[in-house]
Amino acid sequence: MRTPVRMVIEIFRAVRYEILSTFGTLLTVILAMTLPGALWIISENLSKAELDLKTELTMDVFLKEELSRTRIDELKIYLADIEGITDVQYLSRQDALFKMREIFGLEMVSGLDENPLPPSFVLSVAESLHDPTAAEAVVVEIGELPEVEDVVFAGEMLNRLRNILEAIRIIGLIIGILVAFSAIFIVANTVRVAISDRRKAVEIMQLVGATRSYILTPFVSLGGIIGLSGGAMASLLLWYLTKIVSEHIVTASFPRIYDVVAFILTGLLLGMLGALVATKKHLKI
Amino acid sequence: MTPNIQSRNFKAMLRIDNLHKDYGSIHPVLGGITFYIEKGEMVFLTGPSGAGKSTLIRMLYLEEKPSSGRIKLGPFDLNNLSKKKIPMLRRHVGIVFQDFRLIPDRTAAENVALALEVIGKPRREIRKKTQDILRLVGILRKKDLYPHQLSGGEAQRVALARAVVTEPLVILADEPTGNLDDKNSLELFELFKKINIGGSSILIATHEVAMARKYGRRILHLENGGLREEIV
Repeated sequence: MRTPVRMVIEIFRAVRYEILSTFGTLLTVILAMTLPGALWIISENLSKAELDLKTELTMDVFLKEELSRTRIDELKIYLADIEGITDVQYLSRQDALFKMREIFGLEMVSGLDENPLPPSFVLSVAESLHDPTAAEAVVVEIGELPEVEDVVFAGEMLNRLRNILEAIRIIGLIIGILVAFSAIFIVANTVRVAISDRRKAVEIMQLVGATRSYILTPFVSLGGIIGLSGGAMASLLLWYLTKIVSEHIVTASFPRIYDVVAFILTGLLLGMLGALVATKKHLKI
Repeated sequence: MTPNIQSRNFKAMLRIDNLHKDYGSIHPVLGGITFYIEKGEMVFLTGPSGAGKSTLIRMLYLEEKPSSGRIKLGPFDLNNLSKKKIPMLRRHVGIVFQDFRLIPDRTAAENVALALEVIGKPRREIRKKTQDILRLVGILRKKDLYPHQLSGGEAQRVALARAVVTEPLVILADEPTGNLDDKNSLELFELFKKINIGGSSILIATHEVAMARKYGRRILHLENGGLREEIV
């Protein structure tokens, strides 16, 4: 068995004539892992946005004019009875103005001569109404009420978001698979060169009784180190990019630490796989 | 007097029975040779170039497989040894080559230490044994030099030290003096003799018949696929 120091020396010996190309490989692995990593982060953030939208999803029923208290109560009961409606809130013109002031600030509403906002019912909807077809029937039903001016439902937006998310996941998966194969290939090529440089040493090791694992370990470790460093540096780059996007464009969150660790370990695994492919093909022992 | 190799009391370190090797041509390289080496014996294997000396040596550490026949080296039955067990065999065989086969980017001491490293000896023991063996072959002073900084004779001493340091069952030397001048050849043979006195079994393949005769040891002469023993 080698000591860890011996192992590091052995790995260094394996690449010392190929330092530049090894760094080139590392850089390629970093870039290769950054692309699916970025899609992964985008997908994670959109999933979060989808969840937020889902929990806050409402159907706004705008009325033509203020209604009497009795009519409001009648309509409240009617609307609450519709399947998929979980809560009904009446928003008078005054309430709507207060809400607008809360969201956009006092300056926005202070310039208005009169309140332009219509009264409305705000309906909370169950998961069953997230399906656009089911929601459409409810929108039509409510829209046919004589007091109703318009019905606005954000379900379509949720649906569009879901489609985008699905597309990003598929593209991410395809790119991820392609990147995995290219990372394996790139690392395999570097390890192949290292094997070729160490051929004489490998032969001598075999002659003195070195086992297969003794001979392979430095090469597999080399692949592992390239993959691990590539994964770690790609994570660092992605963290920095997420920070910039968050500060200047839109709030975005970076994945949790154990997901990042899994991402880095994927790099390690790909690197080791690449090295194993190279040793299997070019190291006949 | 040649011992009866079938005898129950006879303990051969290396025993070869009816060994054949051919590469598909009409004349086999080895046409059914039989011999033995006793424990602690030093034997010379002579013969002209192409007689099959190197082929025979290579078969003894399973770099090549025999076409037929049996090889037994200490407890190893080479005919039934799986590929996985070959490293175990080689740990018990010290090999010295004509071209030294030293790792160029390791110092003399590191080249010797490699043989102990692969069998998992502790660091302290590796350091001590390496020093001792380099002292024995008279090259301790140059332990930190790389192979390209050593003369042929010195490089071959390092190779010999590497072969001996693990105290193998048998030391195989394939034309060890092939790249050396007379003075270095003589010194190397003297080292083999010294190591043999220590109890190691040694088989030296050489074309230097005169040198072999000088040592008064058993000489096995290989020619035209056959083996004859020269009584010294």
